[in-house]
Amino acid sequence: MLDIRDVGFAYGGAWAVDGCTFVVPKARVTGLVGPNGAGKSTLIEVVSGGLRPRRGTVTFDGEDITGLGRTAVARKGIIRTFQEARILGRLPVIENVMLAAQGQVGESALWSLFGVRRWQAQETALRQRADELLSWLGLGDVRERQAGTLSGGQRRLLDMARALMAGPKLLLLDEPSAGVFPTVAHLIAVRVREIVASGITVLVVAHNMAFLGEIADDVVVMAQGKVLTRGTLDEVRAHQAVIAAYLGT
Amino acid sequence: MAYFLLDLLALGCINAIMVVGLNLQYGYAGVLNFTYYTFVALGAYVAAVTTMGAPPTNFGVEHYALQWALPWPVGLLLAGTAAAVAGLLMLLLTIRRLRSDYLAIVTVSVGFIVWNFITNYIPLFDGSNGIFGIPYILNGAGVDEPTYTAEILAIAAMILAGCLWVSWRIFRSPFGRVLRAVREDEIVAESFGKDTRAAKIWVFVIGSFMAGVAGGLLAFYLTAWSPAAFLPEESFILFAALVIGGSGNYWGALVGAFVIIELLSEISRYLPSFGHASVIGAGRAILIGVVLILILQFRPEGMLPERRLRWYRARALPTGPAQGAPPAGTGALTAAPLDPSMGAGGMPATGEYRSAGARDRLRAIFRRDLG
Repeated sequence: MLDIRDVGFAYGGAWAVDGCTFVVPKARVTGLVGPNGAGKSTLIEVVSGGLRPRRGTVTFDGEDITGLGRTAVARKGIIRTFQEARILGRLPVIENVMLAAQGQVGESALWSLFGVRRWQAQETALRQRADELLSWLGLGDVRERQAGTLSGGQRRLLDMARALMAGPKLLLLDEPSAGVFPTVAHLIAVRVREIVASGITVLVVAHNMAFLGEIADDVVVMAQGKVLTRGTLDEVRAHQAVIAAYLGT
Repeated sequence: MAYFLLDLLALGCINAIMVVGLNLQYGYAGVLNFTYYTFVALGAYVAAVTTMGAPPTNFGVEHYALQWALPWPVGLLLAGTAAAVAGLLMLLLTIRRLRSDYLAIVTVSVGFIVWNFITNYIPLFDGSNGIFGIPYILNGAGVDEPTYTAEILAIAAMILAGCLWVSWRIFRSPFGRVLRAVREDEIVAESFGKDTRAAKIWVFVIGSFMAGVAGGLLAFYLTAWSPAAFLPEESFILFAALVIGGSGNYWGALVGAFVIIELLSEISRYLPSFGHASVIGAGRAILIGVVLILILQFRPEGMLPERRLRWYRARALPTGPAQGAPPAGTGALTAAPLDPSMGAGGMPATGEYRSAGARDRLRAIFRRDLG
């Protein structure tokens, strides 16, 4: 599904990702873990088109998407959430979600003015779908509120609803459980499993091992920009190099 | 008194067209164009030189380009088009590399370059002397001033209504939603596959077109135009009007134009003079500045804040489970079938939602075959 080959990215002279290679299989949850500064978020940024790697390739469904840019990558079906949930604060919750849908006719300036009937029919369906997603994630009661008034946990859920609204083939979740109440983290974990059951592939960055234990089929461990090992959570926990990377020994 | 009111209303409508255009650029999309009034000036010049014939001798020697003597509606259309093309060029040259505040700095620079070029290159628009004797439109030459003002008011009001309609339509559309997303967080918009560059270019061009048309109307009304009419501070007065009225809200733009520019600015022109001649002008600028500071301090969203679309608050819909209490198994979602007309852009319409297993639920939500 997603094939990351020898990817390297440097901020100035420091390699944040240095020769990373691994594959994310279809319809599974792959965890990406590692100590701070391991290069996980930089790698997510490279895969999602925010950063152009200095070397290596990123292939998605057999197509080279290296350095395509955020918009083009999203249109291929790779949708991400953010480490800090970046919600659109002045927009209502439901508009945050509706924005994410792909292929909206009324997003063209000319259609928005002169093709009203066409996009209004689509808007009705989109609103329904957004409502369903928000209810499914427990945000049904706040759908009309300004997104800027939501709590931290609600923002995380909104971030996820928005990503799902985009109809992703590959979902990149960057720290989806960071800073949220354990019950919300559990809700997110349950939903992620259901998302994967529906055929979507998930690559999730997380520090919370309990959370990862609930959702991940296997785990890739990174340290200092490189892949250390890969396996089930129990396997990597017992791996000497992983222990050394985390404990600094 | 009637003439005074007519004059205020006519200028108010013309200024409102400008602020509505600026609202599209800044209020909707967050694009800071600190040289917006340059596009107004460009429209004024183009409307003048495309509708004027050879320079009239009774105003002395004048130099200006084109001299096409076209009918005034064509001149007005060309005024808008010239401003739109200028806006397009400016954005195409800068948008690939620059965002937000850097783009704003470039707009200021472009404004100074254009102002100096027009002021010093005499064959174009007669340099710092400006253009006089711009023809009256309709039957303006044969009527008294109040009647001509009323005619300008009627035309300006109709054009303003059209601009408001465009703003209203864009605000309610998915295009408007993309613009608001660009304003809030461009990276998020891009991460959902939105063409933010195209959105900004479109809204910039539409806003510049409105500026050009307003400039053309102003030129026809004043029958004269010169570099002294578009000093950099004019753009900031329009920004003040928008911020005080309520950016992001087309009604706010309208209120800002009439309250700030007309009440605070135009009315002061009619005050009896006292002290040095510049006192009233300086006092007007100070007054606008004070009102702006007070608004930003106590009501930063402006007099009329951005509206929430009532359209989204449609009917009673199923609400989700309480946060933190994930629904066990199935049945969390119950929803009516989708509108069968849904189908464009990779979102094919499929059957109704079934409250079954996770796979079926997600399929029903996404309306796509996930294989």
